[in-house]
Amino acid sequence: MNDKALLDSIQSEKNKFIIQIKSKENSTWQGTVEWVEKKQVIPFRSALELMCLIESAMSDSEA
Amino acid sequence: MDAVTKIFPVNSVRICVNETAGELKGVLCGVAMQENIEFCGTRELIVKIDKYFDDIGQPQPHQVIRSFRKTERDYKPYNAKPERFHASEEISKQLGDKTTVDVVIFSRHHAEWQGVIKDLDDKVVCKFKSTLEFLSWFEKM
Repeated sequence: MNDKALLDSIQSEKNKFIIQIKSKENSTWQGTVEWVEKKQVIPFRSALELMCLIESAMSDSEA
Repeated sequence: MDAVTKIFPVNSVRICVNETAGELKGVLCGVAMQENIEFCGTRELIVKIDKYFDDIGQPQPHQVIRSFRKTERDYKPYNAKPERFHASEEISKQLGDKTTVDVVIFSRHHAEWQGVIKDLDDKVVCKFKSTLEFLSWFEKM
């Protein structure tokens, strides 16, 4: 990736997420994830669920 | 190193790591996995293993995983005897260029995994209660 493409991807709202960790129960994380591009906020109960949520957003935006 | 032939349960996945510089890259295989699955990065590793367990029907997840997508995830009902596509000997022969470990998942409580990581000698090297613990072992490796 060249410098311009890197800068574009950083400035782009695409695939940008804001993660808020609210607690750390059961050896994992609980909180919310905001998909900036779609302005959607979904709570997650674990790191696994967080990764699945990000994956679902990425595959949705690629489709 | 010679691979030890051992019995692989259906709830186990062999992780063959081929690249550790930068992103973790490799291949997943298992007795109930029809074809090997390639992964690139830890997120893909976790998501693909989780989908594999959904596909074979065990261990069942205790929570429905949330998604940004409108379509629901394809959960299969519990299957006590998932179809075995490979013998344990075939899986034992598959080795990664950098490292090889076997992960056995016993349950999926709290939208997480609980299980163990075993080395090639079938020795338990890590017990984990969540994917965070699982990944932190990989980081230390």
